[in-house]
Amino acid sequence: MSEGLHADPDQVASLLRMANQIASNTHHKPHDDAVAMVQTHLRDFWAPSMLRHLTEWMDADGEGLDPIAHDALDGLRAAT
Amino acid sequence: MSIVDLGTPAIPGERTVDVVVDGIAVFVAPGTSVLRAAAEAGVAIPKLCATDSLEAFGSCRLCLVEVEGRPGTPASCTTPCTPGMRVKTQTPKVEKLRRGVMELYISDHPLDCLTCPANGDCELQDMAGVVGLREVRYGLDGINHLDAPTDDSNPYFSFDESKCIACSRCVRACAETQGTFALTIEGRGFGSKVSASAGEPFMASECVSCGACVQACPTSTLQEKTVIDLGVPTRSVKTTCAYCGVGCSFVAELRGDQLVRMVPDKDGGANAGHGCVKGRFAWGYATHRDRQLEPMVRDSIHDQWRVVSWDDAIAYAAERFLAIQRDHGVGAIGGITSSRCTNEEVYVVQKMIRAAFGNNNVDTCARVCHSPTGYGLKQTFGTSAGTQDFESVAHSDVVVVIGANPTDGHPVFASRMKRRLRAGAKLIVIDPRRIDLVRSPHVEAAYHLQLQPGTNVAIVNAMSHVVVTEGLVDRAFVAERCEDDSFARWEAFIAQPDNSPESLEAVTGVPAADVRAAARLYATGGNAAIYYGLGVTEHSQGSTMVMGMANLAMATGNIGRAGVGINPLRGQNNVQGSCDMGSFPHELPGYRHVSDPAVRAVFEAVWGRVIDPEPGLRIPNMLDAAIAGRYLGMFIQGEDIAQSDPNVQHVKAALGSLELLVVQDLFLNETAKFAHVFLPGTSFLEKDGTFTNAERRINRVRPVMAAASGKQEWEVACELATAMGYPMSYSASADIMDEIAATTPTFAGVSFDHLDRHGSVQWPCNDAAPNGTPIMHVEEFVRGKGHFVETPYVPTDERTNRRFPLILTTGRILSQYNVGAQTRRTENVRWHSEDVVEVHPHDAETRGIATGQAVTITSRVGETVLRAKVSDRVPQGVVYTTFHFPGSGANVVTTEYSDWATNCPEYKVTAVELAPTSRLPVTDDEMDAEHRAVAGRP
Repeated sequence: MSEGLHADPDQVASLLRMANQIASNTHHKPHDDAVAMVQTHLRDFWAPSMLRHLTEWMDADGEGLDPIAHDALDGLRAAT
Repeated sequence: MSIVDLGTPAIPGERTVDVVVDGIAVFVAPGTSVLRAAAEAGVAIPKLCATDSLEAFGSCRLCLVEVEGRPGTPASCTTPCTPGMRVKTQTPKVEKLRRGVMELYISDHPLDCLTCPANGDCELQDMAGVVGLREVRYGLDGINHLDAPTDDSNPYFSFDESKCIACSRCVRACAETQGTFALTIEGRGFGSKVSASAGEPFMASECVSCGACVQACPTSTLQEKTVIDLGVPTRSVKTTCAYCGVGCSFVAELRGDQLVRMVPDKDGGANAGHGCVKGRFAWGYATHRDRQLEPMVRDSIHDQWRVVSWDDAIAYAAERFLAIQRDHGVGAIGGITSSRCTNEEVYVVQKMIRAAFGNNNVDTCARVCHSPTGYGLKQTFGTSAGTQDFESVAHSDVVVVIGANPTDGHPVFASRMKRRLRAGAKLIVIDPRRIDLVRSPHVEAAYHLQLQPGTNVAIVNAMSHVVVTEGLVDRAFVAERCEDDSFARWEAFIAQPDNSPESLEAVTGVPAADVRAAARLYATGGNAAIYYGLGVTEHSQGSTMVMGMANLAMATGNIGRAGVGINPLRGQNNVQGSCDMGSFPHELPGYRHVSDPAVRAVFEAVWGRVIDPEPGLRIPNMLDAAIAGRYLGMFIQGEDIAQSDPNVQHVKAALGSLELLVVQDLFLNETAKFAHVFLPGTSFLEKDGTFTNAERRINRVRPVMAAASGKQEWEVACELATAMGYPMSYSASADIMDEIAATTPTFAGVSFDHLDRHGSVQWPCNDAAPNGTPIMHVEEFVRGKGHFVETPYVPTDERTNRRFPLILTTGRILSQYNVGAQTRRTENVRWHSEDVVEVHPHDAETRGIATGQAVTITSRVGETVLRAKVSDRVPQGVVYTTFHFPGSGANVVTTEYSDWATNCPEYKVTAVELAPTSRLPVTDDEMDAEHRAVAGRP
């Protein structure tokens, strides 16, 4: 993907929906376990550009992002 | 064509019975007929009503023999061998009897052998010669059937009643092989005649045109029209069908280079000699005039196409792909592989993307069908594939069909399943719609759990809740084969009152008592097998449901032997193979993650390129990125995402945003409207490679005719990769399979030579299992211990409301296939010429809708027009349609929602409203005219 461009709103909306949906399927778990599950899923299946766009948006806005997804993205950033 | 026919079916068992036939000793299994024992001893007894694909019937009286120590001349087809039996097949007595029988047949048969379409391929003609018929003492002028009419109503075969010998092979084939029971013998004695339904023309009857009757007919009574038109075939090639995931083996029969007919292969592991209306008859698309056989390019999608040479087309595509990467980065391009293509073609395209494009932006059409199967079964069992072979269903005591419609979508497997159900296995159907299997001739479901669309996970959780709380867990299996800790967590989760059938009844709409009864039957009824389709996967919790079914199977010990298992019924012929071949953006061939350095090293050593260790984009992410201006070039192999993928407005916007779209296909499809380069593809009759079906069976696809475009598809991908600076070449498709085997452990033992010797193999095929693996997880799961996953039910975000109060769900019909690109170009349109929307009588009444009336279907993303069919197959509040015609635009209304784990679209749940309209549905002809205009063709 081309570098240096910020994600557009539609793309962010799509990524936000995906991240929240993944998180919603872990709500039965304790928070830390849920975060770990989402982190693993995002690391295994999301392209780095998708993670970067959503993380950039999270830092700039982040409204509506499931707390589990939020913490998972934070954790992934810390790990890289 | 000559096919060995041993007269009656093989009887399984040890060969303990010694028989002597005409002085030749032979050992057979108990129950074997004298006719078959003789055939196995090399003695051919004359026969007409007997064939080894059908149970013995004993009507023609031609196979009479004498048995030492027994009176009379019994029919050898219905006489079982007994120890020490001594049989004489050629005595003056039986020879005289046979000639007499044959005289009677011939006295009422048109003597037009020289002009008969079956001349040279007629068992009656052969038997007349075998028995030495020299005269017909009764003359030919008696009462006869010679003026009986011919029924030409079926587009593929004719029924010439004057040639019928009333042997009942067609009737028995319809019943035993196909399980439709559309044919019968009407009348008695001399008036006996074959009748479709209640004396109707075949097309008006219940006949499903599978062709089993045609194949069984020993004369020219039931005859393919292509044989009548073209003549009896003179040569044959064994190959594999290109329609559904059953992957039937066929013998393509030709005269010269002209394909005359496709005959299901008796030795075919998937189909055992049976076929359906698509595979057997609907192959005319392969030579249809709509095929685009020359490469074309255009600078803009608003320009007319220019026909160019292969070299120019490939150079044009390569230059523009490279220019995009120069301007926008390596990741700005990618591609999609096709489940309609061979393993070899798919492997080469994903290799081109990974090695020549330099990224993992490769995805496949399985994204929109069975990607949740891959995810769910890998999480629980350790590998992304179904557990059984098709034959396994013969050993099932309980069959559960979830979100699948086998009689329409996978008809040849459905026939196997129905045979077992007729023999007494119990059936549970879990589906919002009353599919044919719920109640059809001699088959009736014990339970039909008619759930609300989108509540699969609630149902499977409720069933598992019953298993756990009523003490039905197979503790020994779980203790030996599964993880203790994940089972303990799952057991505690599933036992929660929230998961009880009573708690979920309001969600699913299914009475709790029925769920409890079905769960008890599944857990205690013997071998229980689950078969499922896109009604499981194409949901927001498709992956969760797959894991939920796996949990249920493990908890009840229904894994690892014949008759049980979790069995995805794959939609397209090579969905399994395209996934096996590394088509997903996170996996290399063999389902190994791109982040694994050891796996990358294997491919890097062979390919000579560094592989990106990070996952690439999935199809929906490619489309989003295209609209965002970040993804600008795409290669699409044999898929029509502008018709097949959800929310097509969004798909078309994305495709329209691309700077370069390369489409490789047979036809100028909907997606090609947005293409800049069109590369002609090859039909399955031209391909040389392998398909892998839903039971992991790798079958050879052999070229029946030369590639009409002049190139195999894998050659084109190689040339494109080479033009982009990554030299890639193979001398033959067999070499590609050799590379797959060298790099992918589950395919290590596979080669074209091996397949040619064994017919087919099911992966894993390696040193540990040189002849393949029909049933998986027998001793242990691929991942070691089975892993239970908690599966909370999370309702979809797609909800009905006052504006969109109905739920639209989608499916297939027997005569059409997927987006119809193939079947719409055949006579199959005679059965289904347009998609219709089924609506419950109550919902129709309140909206003033009648059958045949055009209605708008409106969702929050789009609107289309279809004709309505008022039907109580669907429950109130649910409407249903198929998606075989581009003009129908079923995916104009489906939404962007998808499975949480895989992004498989939620095709099965769309909130809509219906209203009568004066507008008419867009016809197929209008769509095709539009394509021809764009292509500059008349």
